[in-house]
Amino acid sequence: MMAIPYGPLSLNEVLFFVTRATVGAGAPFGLGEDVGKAAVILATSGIDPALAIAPALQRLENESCSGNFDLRNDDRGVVIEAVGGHPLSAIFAASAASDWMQENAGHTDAGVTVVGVDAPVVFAAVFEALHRSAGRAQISVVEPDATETALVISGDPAEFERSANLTVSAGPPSTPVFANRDGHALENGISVDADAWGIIRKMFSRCLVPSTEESRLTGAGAGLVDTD
Amino acid sequence: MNDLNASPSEIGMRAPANVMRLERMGASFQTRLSFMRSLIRRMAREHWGFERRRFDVDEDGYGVSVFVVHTPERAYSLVVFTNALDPEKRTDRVIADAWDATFNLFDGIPAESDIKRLAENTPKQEAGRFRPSELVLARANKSLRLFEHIVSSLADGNQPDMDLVSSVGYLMRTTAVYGSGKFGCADRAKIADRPETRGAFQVEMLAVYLFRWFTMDLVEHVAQARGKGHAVRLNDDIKRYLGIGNATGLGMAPFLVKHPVLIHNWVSARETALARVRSLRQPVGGSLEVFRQTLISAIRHIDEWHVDDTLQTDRITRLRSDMADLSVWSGDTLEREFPWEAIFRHASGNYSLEGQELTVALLLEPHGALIDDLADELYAGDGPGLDPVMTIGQVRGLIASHYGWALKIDFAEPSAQQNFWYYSEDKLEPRLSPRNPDYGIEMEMPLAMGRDVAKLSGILENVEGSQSVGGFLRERPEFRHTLRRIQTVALHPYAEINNNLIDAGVRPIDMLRFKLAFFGASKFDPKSDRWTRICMYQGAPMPHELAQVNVDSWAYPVKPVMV
Repeated sequence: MMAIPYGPLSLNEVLFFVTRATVGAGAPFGLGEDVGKAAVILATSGIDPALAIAPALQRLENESCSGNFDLRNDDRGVVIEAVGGHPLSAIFAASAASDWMQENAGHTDAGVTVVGVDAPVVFAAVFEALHRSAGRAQISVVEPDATETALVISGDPAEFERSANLTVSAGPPSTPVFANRDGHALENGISVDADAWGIIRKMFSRCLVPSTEESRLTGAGAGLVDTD
Repeated sequence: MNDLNASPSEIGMRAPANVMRLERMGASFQTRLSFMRSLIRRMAREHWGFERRRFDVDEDGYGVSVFVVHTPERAYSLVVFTNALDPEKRTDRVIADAWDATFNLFDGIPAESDIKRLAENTPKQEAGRFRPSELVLARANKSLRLFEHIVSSLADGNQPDMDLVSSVGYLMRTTAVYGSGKFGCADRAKIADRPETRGAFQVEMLAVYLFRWFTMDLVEHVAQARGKGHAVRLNDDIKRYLGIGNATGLGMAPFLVKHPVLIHNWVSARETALARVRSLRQPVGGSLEVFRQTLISAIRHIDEWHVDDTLQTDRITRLRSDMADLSVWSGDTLEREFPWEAIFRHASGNYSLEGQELTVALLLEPHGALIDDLADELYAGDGPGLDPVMTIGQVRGLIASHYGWALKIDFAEPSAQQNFWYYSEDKLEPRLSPRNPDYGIEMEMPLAMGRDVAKLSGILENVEGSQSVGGFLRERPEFRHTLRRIQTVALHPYAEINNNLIDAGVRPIDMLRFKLAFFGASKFDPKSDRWTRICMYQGAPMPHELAQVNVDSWAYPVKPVMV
């Protein structure tokens, strides 16, 4: 089925709505801020931020992924894994991985394995948003045969539905995670998938308070009719 | 009696705990660093050109207009749509859905196809969609009293009644001026590297300046159509005295909390300017005379400042007394070392907050060569990221240093959390209402930084000081925003309002006045504790006057005397 585009949106709109949609899906505001910045990174990388993020928010909302995780050491080294066997929410995992990497930046072999990330694209974008000023890192996908392949996001919608085990290691990436850069976002705005943007807006709307007559009259100031 | 004898080592910037209190913020005045002031200076310095490119309006003033400004490197166009408006729909609220005038600031010169597209969207305002070619979206309503009075006066061959002109001060008032990517308009990043638009709110201020010019042409056009051969032009002194009104409600308040680095930069620039002036051992040539002349203008200006609000009226009365004292005191005592510091100390020890803040503005006024460079620093890029390496012990220290005011508040008292801030479903209008468990408090906007930091502080009492912020957040991710905020404020100490913004006694209007003063607004006219009317560009030179007058002479406009 052909996707119906919506837009153009500004980057500021993407930031505003995605930040609060993340809160509407059940994440704390501080993580919402991180996801909002991630959405801008996706948008300026030529990737539809709504298509990438809306499924992750839906999974968070319907609890088919979890933000509860353990960070522990095992034979794979430092591991972040969801508690209870659920897929791990990329929104929670990316901030935890970025924080841990920064805390251990002095160790040349610093690295972390993140198990069962529900949305690697979102993970990579949030990580990029948090880590941009903190130094570079390599994000890789752990294949079933335990080999690691550098994560490269092309924007293919199939990437948005695929969960993965990831590793994050210190040092510059062998290949940029985001394959493309859209240098025209500021000139042209951002076009998004209408249905996916509808999901973002629906979750955003959970941060809105219904209007009452009292709040209309006294909540914001200014007279309702000004005829001077 | 204060010790007025300063030494340079004692002169520093005012402390955030002093400056960033709502009581003082709510007494702010425009300064020569304010955004309108710096924009006017740039227009004159760079010889911007102005062109009325299109003025297709009928005898009632309804139609389409395009007013263009040519800067050294590019052009910007004000595209205005005017139409009839049912008086019952003339409201200043965000939730309005019709206006006398709607307009955009267009990046460049619009093609006919652009104007056609805007004609279908701009009158709808928030319900329209825009493109990155539009830098600003705004609307305005007439002051019916003054617009009609000036039209009928000019049509009859007379100039308007100056008392009425003075009591209103503008022909139209804006009720929203949107930029920075709202409704599809251009992101700030698109223009952030341009010299003329890098400063804060410069495109918004430019749109308002061009709109002011448009309103003068509009009122003359309607008068000409009505009076035919009898009509006269509006006197130039009256034109200059007319500004653009504005009605501002709570929408402006959350901005101050959501942009901590930007707010720090604004305040830091002003406080740096003040410290530079106070540190002058001897007055630079001519500055004493400029100060005295500006004080005379300011005294006349506040004599013409009349409002209905009783609290503000009392404050203005006290302000007049303060300025009368300053006039006498500064006349006698400026022949000394560190004269500006002496004035500052006298004002700080003897005047009301309004008197103190107007004195600060007056001290900056004669010192353009010393401080105007700071006007170029009133913008901000991305704020700092979270530092997960910091220890909880260090965070405790930052809280003690920067949030002592919050730790003194008993948030268990109902009055300390009486209100909550939220976005309404009505056009996302920000509102402040009494906290009610049955009314949306789970959707509270994260603006109560004092409460949130106090809560975190209590929890951190039971956390090892050597624990990292990152380690703590893995257990308590709900504090990510608060911890990032504390770290940001530690680096940008003027970023935080040192008050509980959900307290029963909070006066949001203090936040509005603070921001509007940085814009360059004057004649604050509070209508309640949560909205105000103001005047913008009152006294500012019109486009054709920019090359002819002292472009910094309009700080305290006074009613022209008509002969």
